[in-house]
Amino acid sequence: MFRWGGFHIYVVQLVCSLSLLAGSLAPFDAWSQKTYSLRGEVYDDVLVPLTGAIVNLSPGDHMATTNGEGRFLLQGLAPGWYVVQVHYSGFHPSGDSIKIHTGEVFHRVELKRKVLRLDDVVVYGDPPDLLQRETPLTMEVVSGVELRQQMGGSLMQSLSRVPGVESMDIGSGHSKPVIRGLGFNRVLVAEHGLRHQGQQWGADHGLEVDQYAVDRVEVIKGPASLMYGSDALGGVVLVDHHVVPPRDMMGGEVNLFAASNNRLAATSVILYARRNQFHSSLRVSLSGFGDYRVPTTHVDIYSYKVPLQEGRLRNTAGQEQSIHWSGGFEKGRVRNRTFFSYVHSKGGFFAHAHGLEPRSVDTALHDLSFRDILLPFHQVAHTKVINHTIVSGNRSTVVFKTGYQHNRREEHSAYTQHGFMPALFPDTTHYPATLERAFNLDHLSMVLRVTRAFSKGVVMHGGVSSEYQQNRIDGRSFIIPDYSQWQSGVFLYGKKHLSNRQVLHIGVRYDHSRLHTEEHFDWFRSPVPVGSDTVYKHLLRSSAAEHLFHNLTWSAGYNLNMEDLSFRVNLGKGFRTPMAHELASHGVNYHQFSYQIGDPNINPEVSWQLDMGLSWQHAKATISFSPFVNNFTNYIYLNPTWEFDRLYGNGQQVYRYAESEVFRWGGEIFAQVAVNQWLTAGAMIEYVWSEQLSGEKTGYPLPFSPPLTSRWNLKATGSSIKSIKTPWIQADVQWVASQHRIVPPEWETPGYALLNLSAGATLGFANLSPVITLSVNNLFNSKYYRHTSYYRLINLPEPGRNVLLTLSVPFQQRRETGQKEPMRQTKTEPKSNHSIY
Amino acid sequence: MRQRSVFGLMLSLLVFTVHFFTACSREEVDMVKPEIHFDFSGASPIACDTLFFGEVFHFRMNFSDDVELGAFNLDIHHNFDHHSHTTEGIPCPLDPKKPPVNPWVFIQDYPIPSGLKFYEADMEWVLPSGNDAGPYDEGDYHLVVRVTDRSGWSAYKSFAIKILHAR
Repeated sequence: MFRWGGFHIYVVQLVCSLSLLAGSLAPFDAWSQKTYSLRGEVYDDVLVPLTGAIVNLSPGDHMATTNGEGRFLLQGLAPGWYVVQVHYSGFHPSGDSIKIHTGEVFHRVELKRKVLRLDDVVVYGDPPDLLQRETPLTMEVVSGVELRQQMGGSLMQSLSRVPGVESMDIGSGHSKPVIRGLGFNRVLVAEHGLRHQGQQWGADHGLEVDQYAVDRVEVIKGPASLMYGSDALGGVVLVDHHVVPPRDMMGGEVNLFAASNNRLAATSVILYARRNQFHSSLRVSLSGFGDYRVPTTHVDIYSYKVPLQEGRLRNTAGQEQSIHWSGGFEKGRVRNRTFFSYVHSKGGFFAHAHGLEPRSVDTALHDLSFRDILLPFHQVAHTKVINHTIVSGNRSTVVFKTGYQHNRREEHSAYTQHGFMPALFPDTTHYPATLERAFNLDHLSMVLRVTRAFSKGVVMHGGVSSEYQQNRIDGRSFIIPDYSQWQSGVFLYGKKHLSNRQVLHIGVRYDHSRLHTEEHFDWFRSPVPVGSDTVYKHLLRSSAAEHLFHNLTWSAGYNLNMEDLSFRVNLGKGFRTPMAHELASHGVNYHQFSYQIGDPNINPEVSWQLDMGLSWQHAKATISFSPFVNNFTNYIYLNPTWEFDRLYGNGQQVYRYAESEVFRWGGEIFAQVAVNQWLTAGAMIEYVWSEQLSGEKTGYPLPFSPPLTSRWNLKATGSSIKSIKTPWIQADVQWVASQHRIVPPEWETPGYALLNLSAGATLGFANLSPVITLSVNNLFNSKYYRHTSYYRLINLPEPGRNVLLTLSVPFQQRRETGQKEPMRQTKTEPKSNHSIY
Repeated sequence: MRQRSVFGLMLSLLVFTVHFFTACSREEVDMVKPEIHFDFSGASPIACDTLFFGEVFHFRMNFSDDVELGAFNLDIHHNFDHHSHTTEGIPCPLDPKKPPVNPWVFIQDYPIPSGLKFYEADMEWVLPSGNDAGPYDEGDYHLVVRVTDRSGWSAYKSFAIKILHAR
């Protein structure tokens, strides 16, 4: 099964390829027109190009591998009839007869997936992107259509149906990803292939991505540092918007969303057009929601009983506005696209639990309206401009991406004197008294990536990436200092098809990072004992420091894909450079009533992970099992100590950033059976176990450890009745075990079971095909707590019953030009339920 | 044959993880939070108490933990804006809201000698009646008592009190 000979040759090829890769930056081989040739493209069922698919042409035993754009070229052919076969793991192989009769024949192939679906989340054995195709890592893909059917309050809530993915929620409208129990800076989010850089270091900071604009999400579970550098050690969430519209088409989609629990109303409208090689799209999304409701009359925050009006959590309302534009052209081998986006969101914090202690608030004022956003609240504006240039040759592809991001985050609250601040806020500052904290981040990034397909099924990727960020703080309260950071990396990754069924992967990466933190003094004076006297001084919270980090990462994997069975294994190293808050924070955490202190001597976090996957896919059933074993040599975590802070805060408990060795294991099991023509049953189980092996919390698990979670699903699909096409209905039971494995300051969380129902259909009216979905989450209005919710620490239950309605109306029109694309053999008419693909 | 070897691999992985699971049987860790006791006669202050500037303040509460206590902390700050409340029993009557001029602030932490599971805090001192800026504001104040154990668990109680100038 495993041939060392093949491996040896592969390594030799890998080394040799290094020099060739460099050469491939030179002009591409000219297209040969002298002999007969077959040019083609291979796509998946949502028209994403497949990289590394194997194309066999017989007679003659010609073979090619598709490049990063899914393209292939077979040259030196004799005219006549041939059979083209395309193989790609996770997909049904295709076979077509074609006639080679002109100088160059174009052939386009769309492969169909082998897999079935659970919860409208498609679980693929193989990822579609350039570098992740046939990855030995575990990967899940969710399309925008599916995402819209299962819409939650935020992108990550919608994605939490993916096995192994959780959302860490901050209220009902903001969240950030948690993959297999790892979150914050351990999960990298990339939009259009470039790192999304917001203020994700803060536990109370959400992700600034408009979920309505998302057309496709890929989730890589496990260390993907090799391709993405620092932060990708827990996993990667790849978000894509604006799939390129088909040639000479214009159209759009109107989406409407409503939810009963927090009275959410949202709309998102996209318009797109393409004429010849030029295309453009514009999307505007607006959403607003009120305070969310929990099925209880009061909540208990550190033994303070807060009465609620109609179960509404005071001041958790929010709103979001965003605009996304893209424009580009495709001419010959060159494609260029520019993306611009602006996402603005504002959301209240639960009024009773922000500050130094549980607070009583003016309940009469708050209860006047459940839609208003009063103090305390946060407000984020994220602007992003990204440009892609892709140049494809017949064997090579060069991708160059640059991006600029600006993130401004503000947190506002009523001024409360604490520590030795003056009783009344002075009017001499340049910011208003309510500005608790502000962060101004500028981020520049660029990635250059070269892919080259060699003979004998070898595909090499090489690249460099570099980014610079600068974060400037403002406001009356200190948590992290101003900082700036340079990060650069260089990587080389190769894969070899040992046969049609076996793929071997190996990659190596080097990263270098320089982080500079500035010094920071308090704006007020505190008493400092000097001898027998007491003097009042502006205290130094953070001293200037320069941190240099570098890391060598590698990864190796293997895939075996048989008719029904596929197996993958990967061993990889992940790393993460410490962030400013871990090195230099020194301030009150107003959400946890604690005081956190960084450690300037913290080392880059290193993780080793062994991932495996076994799946069996049959016409009527799919079973997959994806276990992992993981060891962190030094996990950086916020350790609650027994000390109290006196000078800087209000006497809060001190939490210090510390490192500990951590062992984790876990995985996901997924099964689905087509009971008969119209009924499918599915199940999904996920679990993560962790233990700290060193440090002050030896024997404890990691914070926010997700409990054993399972989902049981029945889905019935009906046949079309007149204008109601493909109606479906599903019942979904989520059963979550209790979590007793906790670490200070967490609470044990009891288990719960939830029943969710949903139904939907595609309707046919005139030329429109609106898609409608109605769902009820938490049908029995159960009161439950989620262990990974940020508000769990202050004992807030999760939302009660929620009825959601989504409606998508796609429309599209072909521009009559009389021009026809030569040789395109596939349909360009879109599928009704993949309207914008 | 291939299928068999794949299953073999998966089986060994399972055995490997289960082995880890059992081998790493959990070391005993402290799962109990410390407690603050003030429900005995002589405990001071009690919720809704009135204290006086310039007079003796008597703090008497007990702390306990199943393994080892860490430290306790006292924090007294004004409640003129009614932001605070008592976590014990019924709400205390509050004076009308007023802007702070020269409120008294007291923050002090007290490490508990190591190795103790039970500690009786019994302290008294005279409350200062003013500073360079003049006499302290009288009215509603808030006393927060916090305790930790050595594992980092903590407990919290808060008391609404009034501090007045002696007449």
